[in-house]
Amino acid sequence: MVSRTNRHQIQIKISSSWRRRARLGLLAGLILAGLAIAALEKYRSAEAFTVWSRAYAKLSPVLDPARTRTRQWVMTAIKLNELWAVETEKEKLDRELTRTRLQNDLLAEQVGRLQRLSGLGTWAAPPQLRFVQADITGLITSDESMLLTINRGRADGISPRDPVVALDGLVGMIRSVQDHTAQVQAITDPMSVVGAATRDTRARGALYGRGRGKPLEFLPENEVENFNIGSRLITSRFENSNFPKGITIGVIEKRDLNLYGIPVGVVRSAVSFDTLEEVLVIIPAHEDALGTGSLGAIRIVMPRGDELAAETTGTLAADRATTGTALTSPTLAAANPTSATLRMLKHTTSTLQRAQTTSGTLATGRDARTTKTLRRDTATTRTRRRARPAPEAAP
Amino acid sequence: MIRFIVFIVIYLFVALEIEAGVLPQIESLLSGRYELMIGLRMLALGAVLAGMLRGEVAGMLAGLAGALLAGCSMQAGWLGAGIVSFALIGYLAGLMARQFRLNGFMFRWFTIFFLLVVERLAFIMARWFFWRDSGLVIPWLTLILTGLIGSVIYRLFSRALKSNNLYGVDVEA
Repeated sequence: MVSRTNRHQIQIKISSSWRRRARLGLLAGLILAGLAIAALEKYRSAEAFTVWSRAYAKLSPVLDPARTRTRQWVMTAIKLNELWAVETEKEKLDRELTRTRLQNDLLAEQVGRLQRLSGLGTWAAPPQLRFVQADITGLITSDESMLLTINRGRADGISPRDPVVALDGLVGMIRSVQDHTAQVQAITDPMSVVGAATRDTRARGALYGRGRGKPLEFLPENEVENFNIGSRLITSRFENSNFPKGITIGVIEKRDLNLYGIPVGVVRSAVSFDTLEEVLVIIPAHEDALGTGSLGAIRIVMPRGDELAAETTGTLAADRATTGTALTSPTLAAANPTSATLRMLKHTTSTLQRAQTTSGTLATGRDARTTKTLRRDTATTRTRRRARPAPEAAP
Repeated sequence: MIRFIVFIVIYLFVALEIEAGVLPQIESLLSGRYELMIGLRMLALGAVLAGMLRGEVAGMLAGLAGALLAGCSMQAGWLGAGIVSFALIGYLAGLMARQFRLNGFMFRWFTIFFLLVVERLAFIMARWFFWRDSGLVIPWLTLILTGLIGSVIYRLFSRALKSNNLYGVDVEA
């Protein structure tokens, strides 16, 4: 049945039921064809694979460029992703490296501080004295003078004229005190004078400061007495001295003449004031203890026990007889129970005990045998001197 | 009609490139590295779109073409089952388009997803009928994504390609 529409289009009108039947028939035919092809693929697999291979060969030229290009893009994306991951890892490692470097710097600073503090802890003092550790927080300097500001003050028991030492030796003395700070007059200050003595020849004198950055000037008490270049100067325990005996001051580097033509020694300070960070203030342990005005009558032990050991051992008995006190500080040992301190305490105690035993034995004459032997030796020596012929006179 | 034929030819070519050329490469390169499963049923979607746009016959013919392309390009032994499943969903898509207007996006998405699930079931049944080796494995995520893409494509091309004779009235008017 053919009809002409208003738009002059020709349509073949078929009833909807026949259309539906045609569609269902087409569907059934396709399903049957599909099943038949599936059966062929199952039971004629070789022939089916041959046909499939030919068809695949026809489609490959269409698919291969896309596959190749896709593979390249994916590999590029993978590489970019890996580069991104590497970049991210690098940033993370950079952050960790920066953090580690910062921690390393902080730890190195802490280790250095601990080493310095442990060195300061090896100072030893009589029990009536105590050490107060302080950090240098400021520097007041003019053309020549130099004052160090420390973070300890009157609240810590510090008072003017208290000696201040560092690990390497004498720093100076307290000049003014506030509640929680204090100013230290360094020994390089032109206003500073320290009673000093050479450690080897015991040549006493006064040590004058000549200003910041300049060497110290050692003026011997006996102007004609010679002193050795390279001798180490220590505090001399003069009656008017504020400093305990035995603190290293510096080394005589050369001889020179002062403005009045008097021979003096040019002394290099043992303390590097430009790099000084921690100091110890020596103060009386309690109110009725010795004041700083008589600290010169007391000898303390410096941390450099290897250099001062011989002198310390040799002078222990005499010092004890002079001061009447033990040379070690239990307070300091308790505050700084380091092995070095304990070794030094043990060594000093044993030396003191030996010196006391020997001194006591000789003084009380308990060992009569030793006394007789000494008397006999003395008599024998005198007899030999008398019997010895007089030396011939020089021509 | 010519526009539809051109559209379906271009679509099948693009779908073949994507489904048989691009996605297997991406999956083979990335699956071992990122455990990523990528898949789209683009050729089956062609049958669904053709059926929804132009009726059962167009859907079945597009399904036949898609099954031929998929069966000959991907794996031997898939052609017969593919023809059965693609033709079936092409017919069902045309039948559903004749019954429903498919104007809502979500409803269209669900309809396409449903037809794709039916295609998978029909394919598995046809394979099982002869080989008895097909497990009932349905890639749900792949079908959901394919349904979403199909819904978008239908939305874009329905105004230009949809037949007005499906319901007897002009839907777009």
